[in-house]
Amino acid sequence: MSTSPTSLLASQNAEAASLAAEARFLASSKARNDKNSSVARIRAQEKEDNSSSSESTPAFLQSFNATYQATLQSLSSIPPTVAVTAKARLSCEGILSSAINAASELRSMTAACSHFLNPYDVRSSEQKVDELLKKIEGIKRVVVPRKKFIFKSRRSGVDRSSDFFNSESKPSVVTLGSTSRQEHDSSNSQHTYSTEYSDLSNSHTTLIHPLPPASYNHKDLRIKNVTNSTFTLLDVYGAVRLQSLKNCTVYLGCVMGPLYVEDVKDCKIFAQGRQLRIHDTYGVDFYVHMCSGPIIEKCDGLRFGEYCIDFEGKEAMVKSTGLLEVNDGKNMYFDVQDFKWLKKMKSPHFDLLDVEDEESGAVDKSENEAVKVNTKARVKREAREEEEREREEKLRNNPGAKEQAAEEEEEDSEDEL
Amino acid sequence: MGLLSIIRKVKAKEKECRLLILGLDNAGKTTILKKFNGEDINTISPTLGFNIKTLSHRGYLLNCWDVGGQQTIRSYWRNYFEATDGLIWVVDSADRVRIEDCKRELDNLMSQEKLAGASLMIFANKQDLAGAMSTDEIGEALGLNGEKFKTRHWSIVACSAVEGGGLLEGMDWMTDDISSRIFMLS
Repeated sequence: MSTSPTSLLASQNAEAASLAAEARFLASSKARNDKNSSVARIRAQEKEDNSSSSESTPAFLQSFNATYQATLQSLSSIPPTVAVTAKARLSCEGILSSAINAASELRSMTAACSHFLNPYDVRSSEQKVDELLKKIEGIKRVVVPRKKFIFKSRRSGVDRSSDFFNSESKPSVVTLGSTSRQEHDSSNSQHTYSTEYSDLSNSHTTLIHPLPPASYNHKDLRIKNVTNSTFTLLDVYGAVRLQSLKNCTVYLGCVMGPLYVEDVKDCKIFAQGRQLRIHDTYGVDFYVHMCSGPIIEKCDGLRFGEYCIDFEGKEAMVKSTGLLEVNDGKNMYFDVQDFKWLKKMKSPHFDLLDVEDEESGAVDKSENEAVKVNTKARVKREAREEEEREREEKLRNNPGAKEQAAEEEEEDSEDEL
Repeated sequence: MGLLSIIRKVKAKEKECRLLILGLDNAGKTTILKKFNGEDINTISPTLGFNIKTLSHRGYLLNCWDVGGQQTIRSYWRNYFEATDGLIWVVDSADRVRIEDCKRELDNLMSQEKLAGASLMIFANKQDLAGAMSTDEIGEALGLNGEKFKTRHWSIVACSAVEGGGLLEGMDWMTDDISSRIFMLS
């Protein structure tokens, strides 16, 4: 309010001009929209919304000033020194936040009543709110100064600002980032991810799913920095992240949220879930059942096939998650979208797998007893074994049929040839 | 917001505003939009381009633009900045590893001139996950107390797009803030 009379006059003139322009606009739109103009409708609505506040200027000013003075008073109760103790800090923060709330309430009150107030009242109320907010901000800066933002793990010796300005020199930033991440992860791993396997090699982790559906995990899982390992985690997970894996095989049960894969090389991944997002990944086979098409970004040599493994309790698990009801149980694994391939023809970065062909090497069975791979060849072999068993039984029961059986066998072998 | 755009708003028949929903990939932008609109969220796939939804909330028409967040298509975000009243920034609270990427992208947006007047609503999404960060942690990691945010109207709300908690509070704040800035004189 310390502006000189001349500048005040100038600004008033400018405001008057702008108001006149607005008035012209209002008038013209009103004329166009006839008496049922939208403005009127909106006003009517606002009246309903604010039926509690009465429609007169004095009433508005009275309630506005009451709140304004009360807020000012509450602010004046804060001592103008830095709040040192946690308790003082907390109480000051409480007062300040309620003051901010009051200010924003005043602002919205002004906005709501602006249709019956004259422009001067609107403007002066706005100004008061602005001043109030500025005052709150000022007090906040003095009494509860914000802590200087710094990444905790970088506190040791690394100045954040210098780091920030040197962001062009990428290599150093990258190494800094990665070390800080590691520290961060090691300090937080207990509560960050409900299940986490990281920094392993040559390990075989097996966690067979709990059988009753009530005991499914439903939490998030992360596997990070692992080489030459096998994970058999036949459980239900909320979200799964696979990061920096090399030469691994991962068997997962169901993933209720997204399965996020980043920086994975030469692995096999089996999973059922809603979303599959793959980044910076090379030479990985995915055997999945997905409710939506997978997306790949900066990948190459990927292959996608159906979720072809079987394990005890699989049906019950899938049923309890309801994954198969989505999309009518349609597996969208083939609908791969490549963000690095904008042409109409198929992206060269991935292929589809014919899982039924055992040559694709879906799995090395000897590696794992918990899961069984259903390939066409295996199904055929099982059927043949069954047949042979039946035939043998027949032979035992009925020696006369021996010749016939021999003939049949010949035919069979011809067929097979 | 210049005078011209205010006048344009006054002229508009409805109280209409344009919201832009951005964030890293896998943050839950589309899920938030669909949940808010009452659609099925089970079949959502990663967004290849963008989704537009017009929502009606408390007498306002909200034109929501949900643009995909994959790294490759982030460079196209700027095509959507024009005439944006509010920016909704979605953060995957469970993703501690990429929070620095998240900060970098947000800082980048904040320095865009076309978004200078937009209110900023930050959704700390995925609070239903066990490892989710709190709003305080995210606020600190994104540097919300820094100079860049001094002059901006912003708010951060914890939410879970899957369960629906927090979404309404966030949208309420957004509409309140935009209306106090833009529809003042209507």
